[in-house]
Amino acid sequence: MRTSKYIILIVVLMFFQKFTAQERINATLSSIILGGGQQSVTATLDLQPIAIVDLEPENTNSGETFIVEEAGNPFLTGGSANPGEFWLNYTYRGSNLETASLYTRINQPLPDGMVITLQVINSASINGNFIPNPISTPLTLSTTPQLIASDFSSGYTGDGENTGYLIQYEISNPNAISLPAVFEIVFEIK
Amino acid sequence: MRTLLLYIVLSAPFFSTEAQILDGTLDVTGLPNFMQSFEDVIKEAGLDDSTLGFESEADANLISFILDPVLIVPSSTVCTGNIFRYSLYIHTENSPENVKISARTTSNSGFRFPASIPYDLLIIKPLGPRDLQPTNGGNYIEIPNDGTQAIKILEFVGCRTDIPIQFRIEASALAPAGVSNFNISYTIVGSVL
Repeated sequence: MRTSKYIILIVVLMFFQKFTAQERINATLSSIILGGGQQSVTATLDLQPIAIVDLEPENTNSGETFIVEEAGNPFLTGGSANPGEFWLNYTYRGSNLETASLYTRINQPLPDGMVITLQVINSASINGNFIPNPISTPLTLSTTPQLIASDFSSGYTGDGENTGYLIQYEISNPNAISLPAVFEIVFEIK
Repeated sequence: MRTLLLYIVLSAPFFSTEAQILDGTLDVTGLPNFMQSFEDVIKEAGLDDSTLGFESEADANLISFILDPVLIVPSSTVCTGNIFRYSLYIHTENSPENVKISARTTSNSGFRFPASIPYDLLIIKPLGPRDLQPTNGGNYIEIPNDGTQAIKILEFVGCRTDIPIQFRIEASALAPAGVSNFNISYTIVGSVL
C-alpha cells in the first residue's frame, strides 16, 4: 500500500515536472537543441534624446501652475508653497553619453533698480537617479545664461517636490516697478 | 519493488532524449526596428523614460518551424505523420544597458502546418491538440541579455508557421540616445512528451 503511494507520487511529480521546471535554458549549448533549431536576427534600437525641465509645486496656493515641460520654455511667474522657494526636476538623456548643464536666464532686461537672485540651496533624490553637481553660489539673473548645475550625465531627478534641486529666489524692487510684459525666467538644459 | 522504483526515477530524465525526434528547420523573418517616436518619450520631467515604454508591431518577428523533408517525402507529409512538442526560448545578445526588452505572443497565434491532419481528429491526442500556448498567459516576458538564461516564451504541438512576436521596449533615461544594434536569438527545443 505504501509502495503504491510512492509510485503515484512519482508519476504525479513527473507529470508536473514539465510545467514547473526549466523555464530557462542555456542556449549556448548546442546539445540542448534536440530536434529543434536556433536562429538570430539583428534588431535596431533608436532612442530619442530627452531634455525636459519642470518646476514644483505645480499648483500653488493661488492656483497658479508653473509647469515647464520643454527645456528652454519659460518659467512664467513666481510663487510656491514655501514662498521664495521651488523645486526643479529634470529628465535628461544625451546622445553618445554626452553630459549637459542646466542654465537659467531672463528673456529681457529687468527695469532699473530691480534685481532677482537665484540660489540652489539643496538637492535631493526621491526615486531619481542623477548626479546633481549644483552651483551653490547666488546668481543675479540676466539675459546671459548662467549655470545652475554643471556637467551632469544622463539621469532623472524624480518627480515632484522634495526631489531634484531646491532653488531659492529673492526679488529686490526698491522702486516698486512692475515687471515688463511677457517677462520670463527660463531654465534650460544644454 | 525498490529496484523498480529506482529504475523509474533514474530513467525519467532520459525519456525524452531516448525517443527519436526528427530534424526540423527554424525560420525567423523580420528585422525589428524599434524607433522611439516623440510621443513615446516621457513628458513629465523628473520621471524615468522607462516608466512609459513603447511597443513594436504585433508581428515584428514571424517564427516558423517545420520538419525537414525525408528523401522524397515533403515536409507537409513528415509534419502530418510526426507530432512533437516544441518550446521556444528567446534571449538577446549585446542589447544596450538600461533597456528592458520584453516579448510576447498571443494564444494560438500562427498557423498549424499542415492546416488539418488526421491527428486533429483523434479523440485522444497523445500530445494534446496542435495548439500554441504562450508563457505567462500572453503577457510580456522580459528577455534576458544572456544566452545561458534564455527564457521560454511559448510552447506548441506539431509543425507551425508564422507565429508573431511583439516586443516592448522600456528604455531608461540612462540609456544613450541614438541608434544601437543587437541580436535577438531564438532557440527551439523539441520533446516527445
